[in-house]
Amino acid sequence: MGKTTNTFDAIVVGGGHAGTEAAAVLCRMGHKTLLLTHSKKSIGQMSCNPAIGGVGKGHLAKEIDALGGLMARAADLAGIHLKTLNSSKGKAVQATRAQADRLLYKSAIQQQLNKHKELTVFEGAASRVLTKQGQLCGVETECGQTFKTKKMVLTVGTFLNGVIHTGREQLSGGRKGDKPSLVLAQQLLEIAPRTGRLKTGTPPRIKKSSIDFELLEEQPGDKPRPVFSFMSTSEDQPQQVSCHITHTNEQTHDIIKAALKDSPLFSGVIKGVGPRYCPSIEDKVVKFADKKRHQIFIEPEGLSSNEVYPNGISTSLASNQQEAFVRSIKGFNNAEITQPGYAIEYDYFDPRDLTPVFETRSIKGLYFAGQINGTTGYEEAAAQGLVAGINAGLSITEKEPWEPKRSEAYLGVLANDLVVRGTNEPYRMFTSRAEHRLLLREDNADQRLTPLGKKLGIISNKRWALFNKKIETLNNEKERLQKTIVKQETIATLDHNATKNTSDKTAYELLKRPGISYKELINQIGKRAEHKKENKALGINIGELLETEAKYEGYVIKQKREIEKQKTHSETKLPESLDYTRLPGLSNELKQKLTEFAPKTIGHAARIQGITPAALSVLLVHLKKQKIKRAQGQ
Amino acid sequence: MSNKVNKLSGTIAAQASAQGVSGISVIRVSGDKCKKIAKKVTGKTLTHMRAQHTDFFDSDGAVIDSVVVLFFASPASYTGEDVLEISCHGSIAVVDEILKTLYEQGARQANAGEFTKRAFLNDKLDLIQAEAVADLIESGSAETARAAKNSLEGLFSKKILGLLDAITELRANVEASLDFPEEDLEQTGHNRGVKKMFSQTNKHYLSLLEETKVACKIREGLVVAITGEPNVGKSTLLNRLCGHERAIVSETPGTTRDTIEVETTINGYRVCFIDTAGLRETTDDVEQEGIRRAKETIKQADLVIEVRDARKENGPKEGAEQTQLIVFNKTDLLKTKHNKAKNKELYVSALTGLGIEEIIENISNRFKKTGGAELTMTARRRHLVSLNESFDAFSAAKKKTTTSVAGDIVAEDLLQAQNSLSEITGEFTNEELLDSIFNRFCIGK
Repeated sequence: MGKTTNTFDAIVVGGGHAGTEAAAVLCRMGHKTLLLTHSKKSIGQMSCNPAIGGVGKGHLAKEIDALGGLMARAADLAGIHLKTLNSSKGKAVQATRAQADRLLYKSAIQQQLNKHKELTVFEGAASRVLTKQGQLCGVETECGQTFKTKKMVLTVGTFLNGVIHTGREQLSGGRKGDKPSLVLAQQLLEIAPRTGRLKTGTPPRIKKSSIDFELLEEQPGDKPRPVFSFMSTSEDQPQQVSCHITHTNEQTHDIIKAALKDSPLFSGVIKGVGPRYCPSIEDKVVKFADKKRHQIFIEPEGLSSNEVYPNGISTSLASNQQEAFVRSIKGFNNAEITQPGYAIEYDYFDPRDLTPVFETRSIKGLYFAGQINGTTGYEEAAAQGLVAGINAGLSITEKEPWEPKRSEAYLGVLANDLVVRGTNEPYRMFTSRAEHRLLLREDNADQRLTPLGKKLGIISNKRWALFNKKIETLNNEKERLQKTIVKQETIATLDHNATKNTSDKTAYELLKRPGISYKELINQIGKRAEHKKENKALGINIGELLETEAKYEGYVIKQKREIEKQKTHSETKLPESLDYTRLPGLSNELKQKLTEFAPKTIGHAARIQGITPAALSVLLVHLKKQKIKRAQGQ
Repeated sequence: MSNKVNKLSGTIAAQASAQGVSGISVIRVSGDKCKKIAKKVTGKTLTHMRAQHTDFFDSDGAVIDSVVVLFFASPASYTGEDVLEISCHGSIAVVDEILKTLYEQGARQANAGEFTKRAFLNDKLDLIQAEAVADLIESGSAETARAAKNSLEGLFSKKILGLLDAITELRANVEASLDFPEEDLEQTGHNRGVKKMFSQTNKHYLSLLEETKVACKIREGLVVAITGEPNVGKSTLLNRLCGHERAIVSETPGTTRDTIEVETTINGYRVCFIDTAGLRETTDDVEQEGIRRAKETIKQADLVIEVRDARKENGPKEGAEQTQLIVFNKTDLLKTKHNKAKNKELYVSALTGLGIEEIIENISNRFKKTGGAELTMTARRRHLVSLNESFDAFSAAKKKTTTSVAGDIVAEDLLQAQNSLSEITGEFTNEELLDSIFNRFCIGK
């Protein structure tokens, strides 16, 4: 090809969670990739709380893993406290969460990246996106170097017009310690003019040795420990530690209330919108005034760290006020704050200006991923980095883009929500955002996505072999249960709700019933040969997985039928030039919404709040009319 | 889940001929399930452009009517899809039953103008026709849009939005516990709260369903069956009740059924009277079939009036099983003063008109009792269908809370319940659900 060393198939700007996944997947696709970061040593850094996963987020992490991504594996290598949340509430909402050692996590990410010979890491700050006649052609750093490329993924986080607040003090900057690039900001505003302002916050960090843990409720991790990656076992995880719980009290609330007059949040200094699911302690005290206490989850920062992260008291009060309220909390009476909490306001780009795979509309080949698109959270960022990276990679070889569907992955829910509806608060994943929640489980993330990963060429042979072994074992056991007939007497002992005159049933039919577990069932019909060895080799319990599949089967079939039905028109494209204000039969409110959201397809339009079936009819009829007119004109 | 796009697909059915009583009614079905449904309800395999005379069975296999079916295979049909046309006897009750069966077998109610819309989308119309149709659909849609959430007005809207609130609150509680397991959501009595919400919402559903049913009846007409021995004066009474307002009379030719249906308006409400003349013991096969059907009609009537001869007061104390009102006729022929009317009894003279006002009042009161004219304005059959679907899903969720079924499944049923409700109120987005959660609970570590 005769490329110079300064020419790359793709360039990723930013080494956070979005950037690292994007760079890694581009390498897995075999593309020569440059990762441009302001600091090599902070690649893979967890800048907020030291945890990965949780409900919705764990689902995303597993999906990233199913496509060969970095996050889940790093969470295993760094996980010092693991739990399965919602274990009694159904497999669809069951989720893995890990407290991670910050240093171990960062190094696990860096190690995985270093394995790719396709990757070049360069330390420098991007200052300008280079274009030639509207085409992307590279990037320039603040020191004046230029790198050439036709595909670029920008993952520059909260750097845009960032302002940090602690009490009445203000500081401009991105994350603490990062320099904002004003030139780049200015240029990006020209590329994507629609922006919004958001706010997020962090709690003060507290010196571990200054906390009286004796007074606190200890919360150990789960035993046995869950694992994140389909490729890990719990033996990959380091030494385990406990988390602790404490609560604020009325005295704490009084101190906070008295301090509100100096709060940037309540004195109107902060204009950005904060996340409702992660409010500051000031917000909680004001908004839920009748609650006498609020829970604080004390997360360890790492095995070797002498800091803890008190999750639940994010604040932007002045340092001395922070110290006062912290010390009123049980166990924190002598607490030393190592770093005060702060609120940060920043601009994000309206993701509705992106294509469904995060490509900017004005510059082809330029992708935005991560917090820059208005999301929050490592998992959400990583998910976007992965999707943007995959699509940048596909477009290098001029292949069709891959737009994950809402019905196949949370990756699809995330991408679709962002580009169709946009967001006006930092967007975080919840399982209630997914209409097809019962299909999108953690335990089947690999079944949903790994075959696709194979097709895209982004998963290892080792993963593919393990996956196939798992499917084979699962199918064999399913077949065995489908062939095993259980006599009516046995059914009566298994299921107390069974009607007296039940006929003989297959074991698989019985497994679908709510009251019958796989364990009880095989006590009656016998275990499969080699079950222990198989479960160990696969790192999962095949029986449990099969039970879930059986129990959800009815719902899954129903949901799949719904999805089929919806396909009829959902992929019909809506032209960008469509003037909704001139469509008769739409209310003014809908006209305004359609104009604002500019849906790309009928399916997208259907997801806009307030859109009725009748309104969709109007759109379809209009498209048809245009088509007839064109046909007649020819 | 969004149901909007699937609204545009599926197999649809609706009455194609004018509403009300007529000699023959035509029901049209369009979509890929036509053949399957026809097989199920007639037992016949359809051939393109061939009319077949056949019985129409309900889902339990009982004959509803003797009908003629005509099939058009895609694309050579009005809509361009497979189309089935069913010609049945013109009676509100028969049409209702046939449509109900079609819905049970997988068709769904067609939206206004939907057949034509499909024809349009499938290139069955030329540009000029298409333009006209498009305008029609657009204006129809605007009307539908007006009926949606923001413009629903009056009592029905208030009630349906009340139910929507109840479901939303329930979902907010259930979903919050799924998405935020580590938050201490109201520590005390969280579960008891949900249980109570379930039972309150259940009540809400039941009363709204009942009211909607009545409202639909008011709109579509109340079916009043008049029964009684021959010669008690049923026909005279019928003519008297209809007076000069009598709208349409249809005397169905005698081979299958010997009833007369008359549609009229009483105090502004639509009422269809069915005179089950000829209801008498017989050994004739054809007539026996007629009687069986008459009995079926009576079963489906909203009100059954049994007419008796006032001179023969020593009849059975109670009326026949379904009787809701006994009318003693021919008081003009009584030699002595009749007994005082008891509950559910009236004395009239169809001949002189004495006492007829009371019957009319009795019938109108049945409309008024349940919400009255205001409901008439908005509640439609489609509302009832959606409300019923919603209630079924809600009931499934409610039942599961008493078993070991996991929370995610309960939540799924509640989502379905809300989706069905959205067909009436307009889309309810996940974002709105989150709003509701965040307004109710202090979430956030």
